[in-house]
Amino acid sequence: MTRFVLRRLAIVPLLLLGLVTIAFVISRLMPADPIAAIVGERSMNNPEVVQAARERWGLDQNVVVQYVSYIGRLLTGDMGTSFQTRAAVSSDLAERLPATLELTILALVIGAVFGTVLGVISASRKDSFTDNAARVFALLGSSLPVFWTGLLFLFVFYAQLGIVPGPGRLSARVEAPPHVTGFYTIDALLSGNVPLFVDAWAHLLLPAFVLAWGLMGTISRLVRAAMLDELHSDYVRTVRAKGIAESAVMRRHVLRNSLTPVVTIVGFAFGSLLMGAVLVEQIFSWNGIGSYAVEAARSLDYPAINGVTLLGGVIFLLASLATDLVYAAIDPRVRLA
Amino acid sequence: MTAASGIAGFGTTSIAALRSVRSSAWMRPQMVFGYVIVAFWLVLVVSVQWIAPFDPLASVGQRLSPPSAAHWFGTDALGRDVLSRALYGARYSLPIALVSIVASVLVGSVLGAVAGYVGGLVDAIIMRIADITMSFPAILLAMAVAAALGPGLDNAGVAIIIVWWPIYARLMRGQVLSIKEREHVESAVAIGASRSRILFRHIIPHASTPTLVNATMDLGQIVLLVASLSFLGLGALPPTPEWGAMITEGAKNFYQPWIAAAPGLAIVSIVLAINFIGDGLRDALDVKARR
Repeated sequence: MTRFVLRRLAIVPLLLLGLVTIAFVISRLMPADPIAAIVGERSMNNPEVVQAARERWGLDQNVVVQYVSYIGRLLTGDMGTSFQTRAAVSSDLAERLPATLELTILALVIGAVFGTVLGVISASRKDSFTDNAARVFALLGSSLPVFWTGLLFLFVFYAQLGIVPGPGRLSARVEAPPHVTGFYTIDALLSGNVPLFVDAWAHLLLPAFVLAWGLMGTISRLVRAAMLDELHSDYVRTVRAKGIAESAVMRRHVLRNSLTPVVTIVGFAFGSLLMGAVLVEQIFSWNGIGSYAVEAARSLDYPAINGVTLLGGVIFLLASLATDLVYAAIDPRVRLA
Repeated sequence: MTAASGIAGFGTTSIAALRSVRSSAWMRPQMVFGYVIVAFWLVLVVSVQWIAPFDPLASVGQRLSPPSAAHWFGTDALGRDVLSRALYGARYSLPIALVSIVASVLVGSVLGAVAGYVGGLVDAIIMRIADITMSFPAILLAMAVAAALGPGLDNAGVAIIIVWWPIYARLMRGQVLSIKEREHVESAVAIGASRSRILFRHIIPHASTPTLVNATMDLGQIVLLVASLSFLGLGALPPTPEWGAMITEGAKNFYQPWIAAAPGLAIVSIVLAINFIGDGLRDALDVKARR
């Protein structure tokens, strides 16, 4: 086990260097002159302003020097300064990351819990109407564009029915709780502000559900397939022969063994939720790293694009690392291989 | 990463297996449903100019009018017919998605096959690049590339190929590694066939089934990705009647939901149809699910 963990951890720095290099290469491929984005179209005719800006942002040095100094700065946690916000990219990201994590983690929980429940229901009533309905629901989840579902649900549940609040993390004129974790729900609770806590939850539920739908579908399909496989195995026949109640067979034996594949896709799921968040945040005016990425990409703010792409890569990397380790812990075949 | 490593896990299906599948397995109700919808959209791609009731770029009615007998899905903020625009959308989204998937399959398969067959340093270099590319969340990397190349549907396609080829490289490499140990390859080596001939004539054809199934299942995701990039303003630009870009216009006119309705339904119908076919193919050929 220790050897497996060490071996897995050893390649992390290499992958990180790879991530950094690719992020850097992409940012240098930009044909558009970033100077225009910094100084504005009108000042482009003023060579002094342009030259000063080039020096200030380090754009006058050659690419190798820029690359080396980029890595050096990254090691000290400096991701450069955003052209748009004029603030450090790292502090921009730190400020916006909690919003995205709050949304993504809730979506992960919703997706995993309801996906498993749907899968179990489907498998225990194979080919019934319920099973078919659950399967269509699952397939819809991976076929719907989240930005469209979000828009549709907002229109129906907010504009028409008025049962959920509009876009944003809090209602208008409601002040954010004092910053502790950056998760509004937790911070509101910590400050003992119950109405604020309720408001934050109400705003969170719809986008989290929209984001989770695809994952729910993936997990319910996995669980259903795994349970149906297990049901035909020898040990289940033995357990049944011993006269154990069918519900106990399902719960204690079949379901337990069927959950391994769910664990294996958690890392992948986190990555795909992060991608969905980029789109969901646009629709729900969610001030997270997804909307930051979009603003950066639109305005050719390349330190910001760089930073956010890198952050996404690092989160993805950590998620898949965590998945591998958890998988190794529960399945001896992996760690001994 | 772990999720994708399941790809290499499935057996040794081949073209022969494709042919031997009972024809009924290709004709399940859900698959037929998928074929019909895909056929509908493909016919539209070539014939939309005779089918769409209005010019997609011309103002043909009052602005923002709700659905009516003349305009089934209403009109948008510039008085253009939403239905006609959604139908024309097939011409932008589908060809780009098809070209992107075919190019990703070709680039990925060739690189993966070479990596698996040649091995050593070549293998290490190709697969490490693939690993790192796959370590980025696809949409963030595609956004960064699309932003770097400048907005436009063609550049969105290039971005998608850059993001997607590693999937097929891994898939093909895994297949080649197992097939190159087979007896028929040994025989080919024994009679002195050249390395490239062995690779392209004796190995790759036997590795194509899983690639085909995966490409079918991925096509739906690619259609969504094209639409997503356009929705974010990094793909098709106005006034192009591309589905994702149309949904952006719908979002700007939130209280006129019909503007986003038609392009949304278009995306859902084609992606659902592709997923039905992909699901059916996977069951018929018993290829393990990747996601």
